[in-house]
Amino acid sequence: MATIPLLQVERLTIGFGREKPVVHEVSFEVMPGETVGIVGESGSGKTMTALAVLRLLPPGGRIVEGRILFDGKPLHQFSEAQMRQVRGGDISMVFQDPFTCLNPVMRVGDQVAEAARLHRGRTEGDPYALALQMLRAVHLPDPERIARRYPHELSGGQRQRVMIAMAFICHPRLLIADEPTTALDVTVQLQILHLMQEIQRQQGTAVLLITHDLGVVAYTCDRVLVMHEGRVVESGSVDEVLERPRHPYTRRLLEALA
Amino acid sequence: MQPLVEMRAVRVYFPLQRGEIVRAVDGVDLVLHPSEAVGLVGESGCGKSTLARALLRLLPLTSGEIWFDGQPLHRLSESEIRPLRRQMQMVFQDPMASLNPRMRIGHVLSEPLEVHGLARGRQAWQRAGRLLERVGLSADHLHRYPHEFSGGQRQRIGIARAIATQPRLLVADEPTSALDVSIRAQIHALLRELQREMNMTILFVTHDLHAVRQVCSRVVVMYLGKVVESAPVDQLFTTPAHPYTRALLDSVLEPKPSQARRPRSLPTGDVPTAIRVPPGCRFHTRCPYAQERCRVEEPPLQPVGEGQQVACHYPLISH
Repeated sequence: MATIPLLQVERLTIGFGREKPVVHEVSFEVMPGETVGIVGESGSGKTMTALAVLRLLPPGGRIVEGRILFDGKPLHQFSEAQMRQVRGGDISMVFQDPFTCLNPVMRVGDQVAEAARLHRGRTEGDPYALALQMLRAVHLPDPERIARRYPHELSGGQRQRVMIAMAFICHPRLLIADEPTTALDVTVQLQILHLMQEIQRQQGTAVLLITHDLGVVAYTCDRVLVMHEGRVVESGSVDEVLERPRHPYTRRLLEALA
Repeated sequence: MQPLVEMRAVRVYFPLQRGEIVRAVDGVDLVLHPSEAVGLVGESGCGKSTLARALLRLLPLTSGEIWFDGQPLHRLSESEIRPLRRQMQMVFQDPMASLNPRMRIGHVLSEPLEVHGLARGRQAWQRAGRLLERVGLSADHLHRYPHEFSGGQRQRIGIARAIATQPRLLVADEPTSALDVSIRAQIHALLRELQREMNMTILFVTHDLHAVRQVCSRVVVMYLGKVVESAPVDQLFTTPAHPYTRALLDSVLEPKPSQARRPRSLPTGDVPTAIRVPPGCRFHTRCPYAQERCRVEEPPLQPVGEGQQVACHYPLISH
């Protein structure tokens, strides 16, 4: 593993107007190829932290303080045009609800190809052929047929596979996954986690995984940050934090699942 | 012991356009004994919520029988059922959606008492205060409105309303799914406590196996409109008999890394839709042990161990 972090977040503070910050001095690093989890309950600031990295904070929200460095470059100072190059290119994302992320009136194959078309420099060959290849790589049965379908014609698990195909088509160096399996049935959840791990290993992608589920963290992550009310209350290797939690809040979360 | 609830061959179908039919509940037999907490588990679309609603006659039955304390609910008219309603209450997933936002909590709680003629006026208000205290809130909250409470507190109010009439049956449909984990465990403890104190029968509908462990003594597992297994909680977790139950248990990710990395047997593919139910055993399309017989012959629910029943031609455990 390289010694230079791929993503470096330093003292990130996010606020809305004059309200008390929703994320307060959060710092962490993600090394190339590593999987880092941010775990917390609703309102903990975990999703805001992820959105800030993508510079997709909701209206009114802003980075009050701190730095976000990607491969040493200051993302927090990037223009919107520069960020559009980064999103879906070097950094891509998978969200909880694939249905709201997919265009309902566009065939699945065209949408996946579109992702490749937007970042032509990163891929080679015909975007549509590449899309079919990706749909096969995410183990969708009969990719040619699936490619001609609309999102509503697919099951929840299939839609999340399509999202993963889209997220990985440009070989991102970092994938931000926000509750990627929360909306799925439990027996499908593990299939999707396995799939993400499989492609992540093939491509050497680093993953920042946002979740409320300590089980998902234990299963997939190398390191974890526990967030509570906008602050990181504990962080470390997954083994350390989940087997020997030090912070009372982490203990409480674990006890709730006993 | 005389069962409190007995459902026989219950079917609930929903017709769609183009002549298609959703077979949400497709022939379920289920018995609930007095003072028993039963978990009804399964993935979304398996028919568990539909079954729970049908039990309370909140949905019309397509066919089958439901007996409540010896009375044929399936044959009673709405006006004949009304006096029975105080005996059978429901807690919903989203308490905000089930609480009138313009009603003070005191009114929310005294209304069922007045409707069922159990108390009126100041007396009802006082009982509402005691109910709030019973669920871990305070009588000072009587004058407040639903939006002034957190999600966990609202669910406590939903529970207080449901137990106001001292029902014999409480149906809780995913009551904690919308809550944060640390709050969930508290609500589960409350349900368990109330069940013991009031000798209620609880049907706890959930997709969360942790929740079942915290609340229930018996578990019923549904898949695509059918019961595939029923067993005492501990038995189900240690010796599941149905491959689908095993898959559900193997899908639970433990928060301890040492346990999380254990080997698992997982089903392939997605759950089929209840519009096109596979022939034979409904699970055969995803089952790692499926044989030819499973593709053609539907297995009945039959005893496989002490208090355990399974609908599988080749159960994972035998007598």
